[in-house]
Amino acid sequence: MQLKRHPGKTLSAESSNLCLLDKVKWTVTTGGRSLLWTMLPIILAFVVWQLTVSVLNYSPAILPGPVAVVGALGEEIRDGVLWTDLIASFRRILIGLLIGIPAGTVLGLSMGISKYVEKLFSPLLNFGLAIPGVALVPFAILWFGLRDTTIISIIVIEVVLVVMLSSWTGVRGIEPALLNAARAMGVDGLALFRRVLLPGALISIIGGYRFAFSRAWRLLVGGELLVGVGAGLGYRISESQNDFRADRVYVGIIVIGIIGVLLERVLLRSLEALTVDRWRGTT
Amino acid sequence: MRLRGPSYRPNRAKEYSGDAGALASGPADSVTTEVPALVIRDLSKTFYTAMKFGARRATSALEHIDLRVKRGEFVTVIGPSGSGKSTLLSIVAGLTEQSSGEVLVGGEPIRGPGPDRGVVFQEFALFPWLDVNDNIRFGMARRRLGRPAEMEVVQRLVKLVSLEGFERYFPNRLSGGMKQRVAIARALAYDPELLLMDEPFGALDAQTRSALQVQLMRIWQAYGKTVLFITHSVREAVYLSDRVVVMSAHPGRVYEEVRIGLRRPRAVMSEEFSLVERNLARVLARASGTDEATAYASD
Repeated sequence: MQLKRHPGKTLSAESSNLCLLDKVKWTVTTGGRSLLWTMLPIILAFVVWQLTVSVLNYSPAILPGPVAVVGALGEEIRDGVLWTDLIASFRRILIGLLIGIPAGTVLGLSMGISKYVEKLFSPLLNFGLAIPGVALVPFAILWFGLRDTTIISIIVIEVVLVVMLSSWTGVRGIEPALLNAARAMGVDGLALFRRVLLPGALISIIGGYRFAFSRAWRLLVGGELLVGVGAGLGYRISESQNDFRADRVYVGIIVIGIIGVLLERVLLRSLEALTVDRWRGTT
Repeated sequence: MRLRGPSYRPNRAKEYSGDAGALASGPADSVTTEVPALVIRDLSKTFYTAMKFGARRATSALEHIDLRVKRGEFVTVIGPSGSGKSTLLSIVAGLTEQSSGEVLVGGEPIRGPGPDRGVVFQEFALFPWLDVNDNIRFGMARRRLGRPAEMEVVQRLVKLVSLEGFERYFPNRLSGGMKQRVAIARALAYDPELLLMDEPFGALDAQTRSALQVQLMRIWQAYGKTVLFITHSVREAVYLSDRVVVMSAHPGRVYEEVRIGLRRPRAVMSEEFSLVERNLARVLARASGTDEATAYASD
């Protein structure tokens, strides 16, 4: 079957002549089609999953079927465990980002501006980036014990490092011609920073925030698995495994995946679309 | 801070003691008592490159450059690569510090970049996060006009460079020629006396290039700015300039000055134009130490 991919493309030239109904129709059909193409593989995966369970007859202690897993999800929603976990996890990642993003941005930008700060920090930055975040969990436990602070601290470290790198490279990547043009117009010092360095580095900085978020999300779950803190999406997976609740283990994995995709694709991507996408491209 | 301009030491090499009148009464303008827009006196620039074991290699980019540009004059600098044309322009713009000698703009020695000079770069150098209007306004803050007056100037400039309707476009949606027109408007926006143009049309295709040359002439005649223009193209130099400074390379020196007496507007196809053009190509060939054909080929 040959699907026509972009039925609206040919009409765009005369789009001003289209009436509202046509535009709504176009939006619904293309939007619907893209939703279909997103959902289809997922639905297929569920079908294969259910077939595997039915045909091979695995024990539900190892591989429960999708129906059982959806049931367990409903159970978690009803008894409120899901909400406590979500709140606990979001609190940690939010605090981590709120501390890590400003700190990393300031450090990275100052590295880009001053070669002395750059020389001071770049070996440390490279060293820090070479260490996988989870490797710091035992170290953080030594310092803070089995507490929230432990997980938050490793998230902060991770976020600071990633954001530092992107802000630093963002400033370094600004075309020298732009700096010359600004200087020729008498813009320097703080004004140069505000009017050229910061906006010039923005594409890289916001890309860094996205990347920092996805790293922090992974690290959060990893940290919660290793540090028994009583609540959290990662903690729930390991607890469920201890309780022989395979269905809840799968719920945990699926919830983490869905939230990760939503935050990355919807929230952070829109942030980019609203800011740098308008002028991304050539100078 | 690495990204700031070079620090400016006071001119140690030579004390500038004469007043403006004495300066203007040189042999070149014996009639007028007007202060020249630009005076370059005994300017040299040496670059140092770091080598192994702490040694430095000195490269002389410019040696003993003397140049004087009258108010409202259009002067083009042409020369083979390595003749230091761009370095010269960068020093006049205040972006590079000279090794010795002095540069006077409007009779005053320069200290870094200043609002008396507007620069147009070959790479356009538009700020991608600002639309056409805001790019043009970028350097205007120091004129302290207030927003309504600023927007009036911007509107006038947008019209001057024929970009009406594109005011809200970001640079990534503009063609090369349009970008360079924005850059010219941006340099004119803060009303400098001296317009410095570093191969501004070098990155454009031939048609756009000649269209912009015509437009630049129109702007120059309407605004009466003094222009220092760098180019590789003999034809461009002949079409635009009152006077062409031919430089030779390694080290960069002024080889010869050629006055272009053709009446404006100049017809590129006319016989007298090609005569002048051939003559300049010959001078450039001698300055570059190559044959005439090579000088044409770089057009």
